[in-house]
Amino acid sequence: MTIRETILTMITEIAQKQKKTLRPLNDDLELLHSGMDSLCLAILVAGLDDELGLDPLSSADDDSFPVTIGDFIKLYENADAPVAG
Amino acid sequence: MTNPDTAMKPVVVNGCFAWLHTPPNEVKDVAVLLCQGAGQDYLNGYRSLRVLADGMAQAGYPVLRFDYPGTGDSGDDHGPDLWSAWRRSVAEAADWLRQVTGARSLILSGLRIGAALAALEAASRDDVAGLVLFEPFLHARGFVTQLVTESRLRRKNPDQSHASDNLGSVTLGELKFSAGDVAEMRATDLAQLSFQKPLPVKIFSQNNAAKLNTRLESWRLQEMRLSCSGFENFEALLRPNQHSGEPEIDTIALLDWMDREVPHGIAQSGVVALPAALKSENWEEKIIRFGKNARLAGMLCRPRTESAMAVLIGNSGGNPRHGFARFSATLARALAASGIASFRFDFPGLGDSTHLENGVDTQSDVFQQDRTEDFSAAIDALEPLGIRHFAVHGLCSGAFHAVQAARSDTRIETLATVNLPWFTLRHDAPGVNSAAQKAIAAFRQRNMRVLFLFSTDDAGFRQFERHFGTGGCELGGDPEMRIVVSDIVDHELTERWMQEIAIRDTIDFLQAHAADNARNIGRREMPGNSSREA
Repeated sequence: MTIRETILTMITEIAQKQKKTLRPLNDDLELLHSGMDSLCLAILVAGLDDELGLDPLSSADDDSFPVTIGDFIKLYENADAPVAG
Repeated sequence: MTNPDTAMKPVVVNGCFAWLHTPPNEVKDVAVLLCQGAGQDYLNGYRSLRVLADGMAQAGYPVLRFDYPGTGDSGDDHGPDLWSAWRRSVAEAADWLRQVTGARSLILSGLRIGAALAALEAASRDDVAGLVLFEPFLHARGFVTQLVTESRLRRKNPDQSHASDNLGSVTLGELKFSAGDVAEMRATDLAQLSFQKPLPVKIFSQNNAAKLNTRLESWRLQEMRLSCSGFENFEALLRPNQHSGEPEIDTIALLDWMDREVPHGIAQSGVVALPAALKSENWEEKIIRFGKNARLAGMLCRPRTESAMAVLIGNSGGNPRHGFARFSATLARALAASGIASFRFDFPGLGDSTHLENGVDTQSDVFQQDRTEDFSAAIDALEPLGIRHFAVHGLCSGAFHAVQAARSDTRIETLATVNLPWFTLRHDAPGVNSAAQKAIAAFRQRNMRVLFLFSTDDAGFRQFERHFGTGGCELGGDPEMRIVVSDIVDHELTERWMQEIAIRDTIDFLQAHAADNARNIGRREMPGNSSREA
C-alpha cells in the first residue's frame, strides 16, 4: 500500500472504532472538520508511527502543522522521501 | 460474566490510590497487577479494567489496580519526572501486592502505555510468572507522539500552552512529562527487553496481532511463550466511555490461558490489607461505599479543619469520578484547601460503581439514566458524618444531572455547573413553559444559589441564551444567580490553567454571597448579573 492508501485506510478504521461519522475524504478537507476528533487523530499518528516508522508531526512546528488531509498526507510522503545530497 | 460482589478494598500504596480485589473463596498464590492506560486510554479503560479485575478475582487471583502518581485519585507528590515516578510506582505496587497477599509470584498486565510499564517491570524481576498486554505500545515513543498530537490539536490558546513543550517536555491535561521523561520514553522499545527467565506472554491487539507476533521475535529467542490474539473480547477497554449498551469484556479465554500457562498453587496465607486514607497538608481522602448494597463508590475529600458543607460531584460523560484531565480531583483538593469538603462519586455503571442488569454489571447511559436517587443516596451517606449543607457541581452531562438533583432533593442548597448542555432531554422550546424557565423558577422559590459557568463557544451556552437572552441577561438582577462566560476555556477544561479558572470561579461563588459582585475584578460585565473573562 502507498502512504496515501495506508493513511486513508487507517482513518476509516479508527473512525469506525471510535464511532465517528466521516465526511467524504479529500485533500482539501480540514482534519478537524473531517469527523475525527483530536483523540482519533492522535491514535492515527501513533498508528502511523508504528506502521510506517514515521513520526513527522513530533518535529513539525506550528506553522507546518497540517491543516487538511492533503497537507497531512504530504507531510508523511515527504518524511518518507530519500534526503537529497 | 463477572461477580459484582467480589470484594474490592480501597488501599493506598506509597501515595498511590489503589483497589485490591480479593477472591471470594480459594486464593491462588499468583497475584495480578493491572497497570492502567494513561490520558484518554485511562478514562476509556477504567471501568472495564475494574470488571476485568473482578473476573480475575472471581477465578481466585488477588488483583491490584492502581492510579499512577499524579493521575486519578493518587497523590501529586511525585517529583519532576513523571515517567520515572510511574516506573517506580509499578515496582512498589508489585512489591506491596506480593507482601499483602503472600503471593509467590505475579502476573503483570497493562493497557496501552500501562502494558509497556508492565513489560518493563517484568523484565527487571525474577518473581513474575506471566505477562498479559492489551494493545501495547511496543515503542513508548508512540505514546509520546499521541500525547504531542492531541495536545496540539486541543490547544485553544497556543501561546499559553506551547511554552510547556518548548524544551522537549510534553503536557496534556494532568500529564506533564519532563524532557528527560520524553527522551527516556522515546528510547523505550519493548522488543529490546531482556527477561530474567522465560515467561508465558499473552498479547491482545485490535489490528496488530500478527505484526506484534513478528516484531517480538526477540522475545521468542529468549524462549518466551508468546501468544497474540485479536481484541474481540476486550473492545470495551478501548471504546469511548460515553458509549453504553455494547458488549462488556469477556474474560473466559484469558482466564483459561492464565490457568493453563501460569503455574500456580493455593496461597498459604490470607490477604491482609487495611483500607487507608490518602493525606496531604490540606486534605484527607477516603472512599465511601454507599447506596443500595453499597454498590456505589465515592471519594470524600475533607479539609484539615471541620467543614459542615460538602460539594457533591458526579461523573462528567463516561469518565470516572476524577473527571477528564482529573478536573474533579483537582477541584476537590482545591475546595479542601479553601475549607470546603467534597464528595466525588461514580454513578451506577460508571467508574467504580456497579449497575446490574439481569445480574450483569453493565455500563449505564451517560444522559438517559436518572441519577437523582444517587445524589440523594450520597447525601444520606454524608449526613451522619456531620455535613449539613450540600452543593452539587457538574460539568457537561454531570451539570445536567446536578440540575436534576438540585430540583429533586431539597437538601441541596447550591448548584454550580460548567458547560451545562441543556435542562431537559426533551425538545425545550423557549418560553415561560420551557423546562429551563421552570427549573429557574423552582430554584428561585427555594432561594437556591446557582452558578452557570460557560465557555463562549460552547453549544450549551447557545442553548442557554435561547432561553435567557444574550449572556443570560434575562436572569439579570437576581442576586442568587451568577453567570460566568469565558472566552478562553474549552468544553472539557482540558488544560490545567483552564481548570484553575473554573476552580477559582467555583470557590469564589461558594464562599461569597451571590449579591457580592465585588469579586469580579478584571472582568467585563455582561448584561444583567453575568460576567465574562477579560
